[in-house]
Amino acid sequence: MRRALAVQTAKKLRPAIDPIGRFPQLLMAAEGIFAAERKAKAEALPEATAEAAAASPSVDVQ
Amino acid sequence: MDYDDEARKLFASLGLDTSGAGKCNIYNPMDAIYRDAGGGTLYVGNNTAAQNAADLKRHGVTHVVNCTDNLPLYHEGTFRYLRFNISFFPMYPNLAAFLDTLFEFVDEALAQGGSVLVHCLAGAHRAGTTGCLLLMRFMKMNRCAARHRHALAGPALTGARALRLSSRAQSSRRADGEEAPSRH
Repeated sequence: MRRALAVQTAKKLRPAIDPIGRFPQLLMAAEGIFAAERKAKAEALPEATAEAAAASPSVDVQ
Repeated sequence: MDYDDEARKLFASLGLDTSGAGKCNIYNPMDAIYRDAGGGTLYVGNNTAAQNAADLKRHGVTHVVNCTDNLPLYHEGTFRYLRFNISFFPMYPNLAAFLDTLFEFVDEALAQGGSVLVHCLAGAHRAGTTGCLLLMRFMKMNRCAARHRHALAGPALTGARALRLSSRAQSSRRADGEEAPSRH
């Protein structure tokens, strides 16, 4: 979830919520971390699939 | 920035005393901001909520995240505690590891079907930001989030005016049966 949407959603349920001071920077940094995690996962997925395919024994059907 | 001071300013604007005690129809000690499919709920709240063990138990709270460096862990032995000193985040060289301590703690609670209170003095700035971090982490872009995105329009407001405006909308949504977002 992107930070702006997270803040809006949270504020809707607790209006007092108000990230002030350096907290917007923290949310931005966290968003970057989550994006990097998602990218790493997406890149690892095709590799893992290829490795699994290579490792699985082939069956000769005669 | 002195977040305790900011909390006291918020209390003053709402007509509450310096500890946040008192009655205010647009500000609750704690509010649910997320419901997990496993039954647990994530609450964001203030110091008053953190002190009320009976109320926390009634809400199924098993874990408490204290986002301050000065408020006590009021009920150690009754609830599990994490001190998450969010205002010190620039001092942590590895932000991902710092955030992981929070995510693992809350994950553990929700995996057990427990509920979590995230609190600071006012439940607005430190705990509020921590709640946003958790929403970003746990809630994927599902239809629930999309519904919220469409429901919310216009620039974000701050302070007591935002509370007054939002509380009117919140009362109307609660009357309509709207609940906290959840993970499906």
